[in-house]
Amino acid sequence: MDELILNLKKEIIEVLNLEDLTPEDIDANAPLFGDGLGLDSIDALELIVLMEKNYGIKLEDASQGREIFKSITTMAAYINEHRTI
Amino acid sequence: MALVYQISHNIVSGLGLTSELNFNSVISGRSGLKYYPENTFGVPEAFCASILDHNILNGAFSDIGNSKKFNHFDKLSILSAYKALQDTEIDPTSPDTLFILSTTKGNIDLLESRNNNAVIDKQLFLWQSAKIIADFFKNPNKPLVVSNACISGISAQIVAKRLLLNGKFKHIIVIGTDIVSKFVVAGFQSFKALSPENCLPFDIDRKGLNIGEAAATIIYGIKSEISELEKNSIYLDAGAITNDVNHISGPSRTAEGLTLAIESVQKSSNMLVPGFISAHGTATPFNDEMEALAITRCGLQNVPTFSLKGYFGHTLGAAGLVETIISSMALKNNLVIKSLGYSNCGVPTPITIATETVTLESKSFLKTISGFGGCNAAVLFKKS
Amino acid sequence: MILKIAKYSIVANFKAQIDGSIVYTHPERNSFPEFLTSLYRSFPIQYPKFFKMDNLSKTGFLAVELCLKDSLAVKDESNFNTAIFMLCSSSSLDTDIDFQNTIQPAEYFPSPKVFVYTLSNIVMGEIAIRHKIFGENTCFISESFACQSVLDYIYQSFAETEIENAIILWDDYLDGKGESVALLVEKENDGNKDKMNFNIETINNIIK
Repeated sequence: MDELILNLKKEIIEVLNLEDLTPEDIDANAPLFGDGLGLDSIDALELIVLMEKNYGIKLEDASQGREIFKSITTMAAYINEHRTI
Repeated sequence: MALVYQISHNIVSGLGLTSELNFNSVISGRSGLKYYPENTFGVPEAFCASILDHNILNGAFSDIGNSKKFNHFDKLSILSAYKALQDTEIDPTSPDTLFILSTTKGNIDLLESRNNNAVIDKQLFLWQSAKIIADFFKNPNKPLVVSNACISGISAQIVAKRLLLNGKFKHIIVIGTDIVSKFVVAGFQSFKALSPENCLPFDIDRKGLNIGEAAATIIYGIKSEISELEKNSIYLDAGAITNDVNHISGPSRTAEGLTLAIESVQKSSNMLVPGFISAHGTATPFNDEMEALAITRCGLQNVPTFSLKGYFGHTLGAAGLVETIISSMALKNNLVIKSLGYSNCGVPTPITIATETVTLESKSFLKTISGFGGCNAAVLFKKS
Repeated sequence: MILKIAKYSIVANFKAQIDGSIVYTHPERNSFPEFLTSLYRSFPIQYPKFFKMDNLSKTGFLAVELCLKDSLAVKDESNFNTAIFMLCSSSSLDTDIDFQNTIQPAEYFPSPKVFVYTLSNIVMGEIAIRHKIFGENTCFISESFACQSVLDYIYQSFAETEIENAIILWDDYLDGKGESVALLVEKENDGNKDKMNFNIETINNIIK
């Protein structure tokens, strides 16, 4: 799970162009949206693509994203349970 | 005071090759939207769109040119301009005539067959498409291309108005065209912005937009005074373009940009309340909410309002022109058009949605439109 | 009515200039995107959104940032009477090709963060957000910056509307090569009589 969390941090930094951040800068339990990393609606959509591309998880309903993407920890937990690759 | 007015127009779409055919379909309640199942265009999810039959287009184009020598996008544009010119005495070869092309993506379908490291096809440049179109008509002037996301078609008309007032041209032929392609469908699907069913603008059950393809042309001229205009002419009285200053893809939740645009037009045209509103109404959750809020903030919540997206889909760079033409014909005929797809109010600030196509005597209509990049526009059209 | 160029900037050829003076030269000439990042980092601003932009937006954004540096014309709070007029040759073609690569039949994962930049007017959106510009924003696709009809349109817009000043931006990026020119244009007044006139000859001189 720790390895998944670290990988997720790296993937998110790369995919969302968080140029000046390193995995150490990101608190796995901090909110991703709103105040935390300040991600926006396009970032949320891009995370949905990331889930499918890297983990084979297809979200049928985009609004599920709100719960899943609360933090890196919640995202990792969801991926752990539903990943197909 | 000089006036910029519509001399003639044309729409080429899935509903027909003339403005009349398109208008008649709309007032009969007939939509051009069709359901396309999974794997259409190589796109995995089903979608709903309004697409022209290529055979019909090529057949019509063969009367005026060699349909094998032009791309789909260029043929659509040329055919529409040709038909708009047909019933006029305007000389497209004159240096007094300018062409303006409004489009978001031009010949974007050409990217599909491109090999990754191939030299970029010149036809992918929008100014090249405009040149091909203007050259077809042997026009000597460098045509303009306006590419302002979904508001392009209204932007282009505002450009035409100001250039006519500037005095260098007597006639400006404004063509708006966009085609349905894998690129655009896939793009909007990545935004989860498309509905797999016919769109429902302003409705509580709306799920997203439908894409449409069309070419539409309005030929504008100028007269020094209103008394010189033929009765029942439609003229562009005032227009404004603004920015939301909020987000590059989501509209302002307080409708700043569109409110400013409408207020500006209300002020410069001295017309606080138009006869009806031809809205953008894309049927996405955020756009319709924002638009209804802007309309309400400007005191226009009791003005009959409709969206034409239920008939044509969202025709992107053509939308501003297609919808201006249909609304202008409605104004001329003293009609208000049924907002197809609407049953129950789905916005927090209720507005008056037209639920039937009925007689309504009006002297003006307001066209509103918004697009990616936070751009918004409003234009007031009046009848002489 | 005479329009004046109060200030101008150029981002091209791995250099940045303000009013004709070079303010930054990149040590290498290999990667234009790297030059853009270095140029950004040479400013005191902290604007993480910069890294989400595509190369066309970064190129235009930086020219405007330079042009408006230390300027009082565009204020920190809402600017209702400032407009942005943009000219561009390749439109968003560079990013269009990137997006097309995310929808290949073999690997189909359409990317929303790429798709959003497949419109050249997004550059103006980014600039509007950064500088709080609520006024008109219109993008023309033109083979070159020196386009008389666009200049006539800009002139007429100043004459007819309440625009007090405008950013005129030439911005292009395709296949690793980018260039942008930003002009801050305003009506002639007592303070700017000695500045260059905004017309096609001046534009041709600036881009030479």
